[in-house]
Amino acid sequence: MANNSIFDYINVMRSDLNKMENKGEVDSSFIAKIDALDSDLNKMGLYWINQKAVPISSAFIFFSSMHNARLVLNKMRDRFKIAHKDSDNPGIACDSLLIMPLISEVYQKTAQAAEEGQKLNPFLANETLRLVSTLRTTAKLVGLLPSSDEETKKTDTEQLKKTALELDKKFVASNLLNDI
Amino acid sequence: MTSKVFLDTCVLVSASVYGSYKDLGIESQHQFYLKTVSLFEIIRRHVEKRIGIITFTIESQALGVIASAVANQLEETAEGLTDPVLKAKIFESHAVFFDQCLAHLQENLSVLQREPVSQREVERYYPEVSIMYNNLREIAKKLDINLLINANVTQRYQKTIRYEVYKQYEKRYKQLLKLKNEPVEESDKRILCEAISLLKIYQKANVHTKMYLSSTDYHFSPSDSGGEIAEQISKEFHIICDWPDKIAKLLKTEGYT
Repeated sequence: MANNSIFDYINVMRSDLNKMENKGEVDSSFIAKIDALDSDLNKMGLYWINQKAVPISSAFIFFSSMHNARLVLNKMRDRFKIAHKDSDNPGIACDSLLIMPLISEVYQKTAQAAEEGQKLNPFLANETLRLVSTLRTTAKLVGLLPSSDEETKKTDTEQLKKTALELDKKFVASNLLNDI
Repeated sequence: MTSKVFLDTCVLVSASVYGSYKDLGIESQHQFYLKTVSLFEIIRRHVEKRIGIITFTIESQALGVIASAVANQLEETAEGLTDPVLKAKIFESHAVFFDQCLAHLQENLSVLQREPVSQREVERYYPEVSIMYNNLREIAKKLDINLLINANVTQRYQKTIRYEVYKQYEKRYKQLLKLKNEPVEESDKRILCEAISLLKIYQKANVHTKMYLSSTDYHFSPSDSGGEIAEQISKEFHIICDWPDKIAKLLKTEGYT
């Protein structure tokens, strides 16, 4: 999907969620829409892994924004799947309605950064970071943020182990505030 | 008496940067993480008293510092890698670690009071803070440990235990030496201005309010043997600067158990 159509698509999803909330009934066909959006956010995440226009350290912020938006979408999908069994009907629709504008906003910043490329506005990374923080806080409040354990289970454990050890060395060896 | 603890960015960062993956047998943490535990325990236990305070500056800086640390490490690891699958795994694992730090940061922020401070208030105290640090830097520039040893240690010991004595003097004058080698940053001055401004506001409501500034930075906090900067801040602005674990001990003596 092109960027504009992703925003349109998110708007359609919001409209669907509104309908579900009003009807008081979850529509399980919505899961396919979550999958489609997730696939596009994944593509944007891959773009940030492989791009060459900006340093990896800047790219990481935008990759992380897509990673977090996908975490929330995955939790949303899990809850939609069991909404009928789990008395989460239409609760999941109401919770998702709260979070969709934030996902749209996070995507908008990340797509803007991709368009700017080498001329990346230096404030955009910080704005995106703050948005990601807001997304996580809101998602946690409405039960749409997976726990750290759930997140870890879906990760390559050997690589995570290596990363944690490297970061541990960094944290012990340096005063972080002097590193930036 | 009411006590308030203004948390410097480095304390919030130290308290938030740790990753615990029990299934993988890994625990990684910031070098000062353990020094922050007792202070956060007290703040959490007395959350209704709003002991722990921060400002927007501190919150934003903390988020940026943690992100930069993880992102810079990623850059070191992933630079030059051509295998897209491995690169994706490395990005992913850094994102997972970063998310855990973000979760800890959010937990910590949830027990802290974020206070508004106007730019005008910060600017009001900036000249005094700046002059204080400039004066101390002038003193620091003149500090010569070899001269101090020559003047205060007998000739006989000057040779035999010079190294040990030198180390003791270095510890004694740690704050001044830090200032001599690294001038205080503008952001640190602004943080002190924010703390001063908040203390004035609190004291309007309760004249007996006591303010601590918790930091792991020698530009604020003393070494074990004291420090000129912390003494001067206390004298001029009535703010007690110290390490988080030390402040936790002081709070306990005030009844915050």
